[in-house]
Amino acid sequence: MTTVGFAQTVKNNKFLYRLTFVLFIALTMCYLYIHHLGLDSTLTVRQIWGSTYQILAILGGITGLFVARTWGYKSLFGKAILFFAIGLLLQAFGQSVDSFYNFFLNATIPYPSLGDLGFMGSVFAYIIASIYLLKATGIQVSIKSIKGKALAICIPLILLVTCYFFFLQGYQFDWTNKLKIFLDFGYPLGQATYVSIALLAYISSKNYFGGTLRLPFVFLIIALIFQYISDFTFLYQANAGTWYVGGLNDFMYFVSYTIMTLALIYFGGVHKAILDQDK
Amino acid sequence: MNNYEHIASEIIKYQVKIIGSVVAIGLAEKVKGLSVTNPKNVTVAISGEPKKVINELVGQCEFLWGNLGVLECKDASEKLLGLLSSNEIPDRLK
Repeated sequence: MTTVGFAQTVKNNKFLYRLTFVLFIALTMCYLYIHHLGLDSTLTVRQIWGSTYQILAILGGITGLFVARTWGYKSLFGKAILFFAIGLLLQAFGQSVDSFYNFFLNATIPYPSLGDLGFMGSVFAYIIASIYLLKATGIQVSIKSIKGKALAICIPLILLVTCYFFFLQGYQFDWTNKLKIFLDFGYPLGQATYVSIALLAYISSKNYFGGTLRLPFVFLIIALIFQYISDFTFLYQANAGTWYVGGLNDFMYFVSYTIMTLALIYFGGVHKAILDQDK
Repeated sequence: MNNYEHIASEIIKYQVKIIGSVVAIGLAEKVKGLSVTNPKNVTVAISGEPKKVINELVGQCEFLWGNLGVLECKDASEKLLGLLSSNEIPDRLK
């Protein structure tokens, strides 16, 4: 039996693919136009753009909830997809709170704020999703080799050490604000954790993993890596004081939401396509 | 259930855990000579040549996962294979 190709899955979710594509093109054109006008005169429109693109995260999150149900909430795939969807919705929640501060309170976004509940919550959701993905891709099978065991130790270790040197070396502790300390450590370490688990899932299974489920799985890993690059860039720019609303980092988040949304739609399409296959 | 039906049941249960019962049982029922008599407990009945049926079931896992699917089937049936003599073991599980 030949594997189900991407084209065979598209017909199952044409509307969602079209909607995602149209939103992506429209918001990209707006972004390019705003930046064509320059930064100084466009603060308000950049804020509007920065609070609009989360629509992709909401679309992906709601789609993911339905797709998880089709795979079954009790299955590892269903649980992984469910937590990716929750992660996207939590990101959207965090962005909504930030936008509220910008537009209605006309204030600088405090740190920590209610929005961090969404952003930090999404990091936890992605960690849980990655663990389910790791289990689903047969880590219990591939980890049996010495190389597999070495990878399981080395990948998270390298990423955690790298993130420590980038963001936490020489950190000044202010014990009067314990929540800030938790978030300052939680963001970089949590993000390094979900991406290292996802990379471990990919690398440990890449010599064996083929078939119909390989492509949607790879798509999901790419989405997570892009999310990580966006998170990493945000922390880097925020620490350096170079982050601004509606800038390149916001565009990166927009792209990573789009990829995650497409990956979740793909998982929905492949479920139906598998069952539609002839004997 | 006989040994082959137990093996098929274990393989399907393993897949149910990962991809859910709809896809796992749906694909298993596409194998000629295999029927899932109780989807809840994943009890199966094999009619016809059992080794061929198991080989086809492994093929369905391969369709989903590539070689990983074959490894998963071997992992799922590892304990039960010990109950069979070497010439009774289906080729795809050797």
